[in-house]
Amino acid sequence: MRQAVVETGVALAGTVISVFGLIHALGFTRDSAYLPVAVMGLLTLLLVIWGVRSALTLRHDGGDSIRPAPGHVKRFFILLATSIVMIVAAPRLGFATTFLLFVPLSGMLLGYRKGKWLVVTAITFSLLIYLIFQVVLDRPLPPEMALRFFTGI
Amino acid sequence: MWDSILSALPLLFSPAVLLAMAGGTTIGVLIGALPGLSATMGIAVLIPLTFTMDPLVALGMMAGIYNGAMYGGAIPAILLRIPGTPAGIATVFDGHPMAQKGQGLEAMKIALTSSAIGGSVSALALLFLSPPLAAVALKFGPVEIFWLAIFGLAAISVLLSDAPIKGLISACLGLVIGMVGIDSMTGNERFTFNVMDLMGGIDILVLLTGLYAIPPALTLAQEAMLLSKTSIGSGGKTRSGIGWRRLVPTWCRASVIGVIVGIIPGTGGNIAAMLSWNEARRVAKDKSRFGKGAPEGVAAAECANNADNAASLIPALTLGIPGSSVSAVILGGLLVHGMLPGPDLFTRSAPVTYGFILAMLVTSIMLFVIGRLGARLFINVMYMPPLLLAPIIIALTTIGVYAINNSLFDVWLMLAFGVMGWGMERLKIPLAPAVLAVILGPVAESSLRRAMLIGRHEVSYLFSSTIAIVMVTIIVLTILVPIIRRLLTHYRGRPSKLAMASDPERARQRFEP
Repeated sequence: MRQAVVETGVALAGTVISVFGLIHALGFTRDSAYLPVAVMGLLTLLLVIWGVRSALTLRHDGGDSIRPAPGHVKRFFILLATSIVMIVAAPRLGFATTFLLFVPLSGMLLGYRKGKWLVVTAITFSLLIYLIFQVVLDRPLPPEMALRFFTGI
Repeated sequence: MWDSILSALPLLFSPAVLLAMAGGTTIGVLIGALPGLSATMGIAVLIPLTFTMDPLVALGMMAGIYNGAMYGGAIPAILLRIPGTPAGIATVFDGHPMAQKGQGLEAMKIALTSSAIGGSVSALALLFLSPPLAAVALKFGPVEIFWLAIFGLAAISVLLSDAPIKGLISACLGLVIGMVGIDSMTGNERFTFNVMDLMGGIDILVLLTGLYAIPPALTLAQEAMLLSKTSIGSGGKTRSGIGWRRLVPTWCRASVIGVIVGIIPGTGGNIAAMLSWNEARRVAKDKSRFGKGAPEGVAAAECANNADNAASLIPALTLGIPGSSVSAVILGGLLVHGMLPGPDLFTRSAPVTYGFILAMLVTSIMLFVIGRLGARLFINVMYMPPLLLAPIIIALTTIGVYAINNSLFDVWLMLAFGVMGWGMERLKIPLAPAVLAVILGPVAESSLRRAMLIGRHEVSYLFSSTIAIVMVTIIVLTILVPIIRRLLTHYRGRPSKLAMASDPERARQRFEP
């Protein structure tokens, strides 16, 4: 795919959102509105210029082409998906417990195959996180399910 | 000034601060040694962890990470021909040929010594140039502060990107993000869309962590570069004897170049290193040695990129205008600890501010010791598998951001900013203007409002002082000169040295033998 195609698409989508933001900003009271209106107006203008320039590049010589390797795209989405699951799970299971599962699972799904290191890294990292945040910094974090499981506390 | 320095010394040499500086320097070198990770990312990840620390402990750690990462970038540059940080590009030119000749450890020693010297000179420049500049800035009224903020935004937006339009888009995005929440002057909601979590605005830490920590993690996972023992080697054992004395003139020139480049907003360590390497080659009697393993080439590049470090904080600390992404992140760190960047830092928070400046000096010296003691460890860190490192970075940022306000909304927001930042990097839209705009936007807006009140809503009041007119002229020049230069380059078909230095790929093609 051509970089200019992506840029034109992003600029177009950005312009639509920006116009929406401009209309929204026009509804603010006078004293609060002038900077948001000015910034959204400028942003809309810049996005239009960017979009036109990208479209012109596409028309002239097509511009640079981007061809991400299939593995790149796959690993990007795997990490993003496991991160989302981790964020959903963390308040319920506790952060250290979630990391105990998230780090090896993500590593394995991303293609890391040394099982021993996956387990050792996950346990060491989760322990460090627990020690730093719960013991040293004393941050009020959700209770750890692993701790309840192993100690019954 | 001397009183403030003396009052900062006991704080600086307390065990907690010393430990934080040593730890920060070590972590910094480790981060720099890992290709794909930078000082900006390291500081962004660790700021949430420093939230509950004393300000100087946190700032000492940041100073260590900053100085350490700049040197750390030289390790893969020398041994692997992969710059660990963008500032390590020029180090590749002579560092890697030295490693190929079996002089990798010698190249690392030169890089380490040069980094320590550059970092120390830069810290001294910060120490002695900042107070007079801050004294001048204290005399600024709302009009001057408004134009100063606009200058900072214009400079970094135009200079940081190949296409100024992309820099300006990034700045506008940052301004919008900075406006989210309740308007402190009128009490009206702006861009909150009735979401309760947005009423208080977007925490600068959430934005910083999202933009600077998540994209490198996603890129690490994507590219999954695995290194083997054979590709790294041990650094070599050949000893040719480093002529330290002949490197002194190179260090002097590189330090000056690094400090000057550092002060100019929108530039950075990569530009300083490239200009310094080019200058070392220009003045050399035998230019043909450069690119084939000349120790002066390594010294010039490494000394300059570290001399840029503290110098880039001069406009950030005195005027509140960060000149680079890493200084923007450090400003975020100051804000987290209740220190508002600007001339007031040198009066209201003088002991901590001077303590931080001295920490930049002390960590440069510590870097030399830690670098010598931990050379083998830092080489081995390059074996760390990125496929494990990426989820660890995500996990660390998640808990760090959650712990600030115990808010899961902040974590989602951070992830969203992370994906946005990753996309911006792919589209070659610089991230720094957005961060800078979040910091400078409210400053510009409140100054403009105060100026308009004083000037009874007459726009001409914004141009009423000589300083204001000078600043407006500089802003116009800052925006127009790069555009004119680019147009000329386009018609002539030959890029300028500065443009080449700011674009690693172009620089590599042009300079690398």
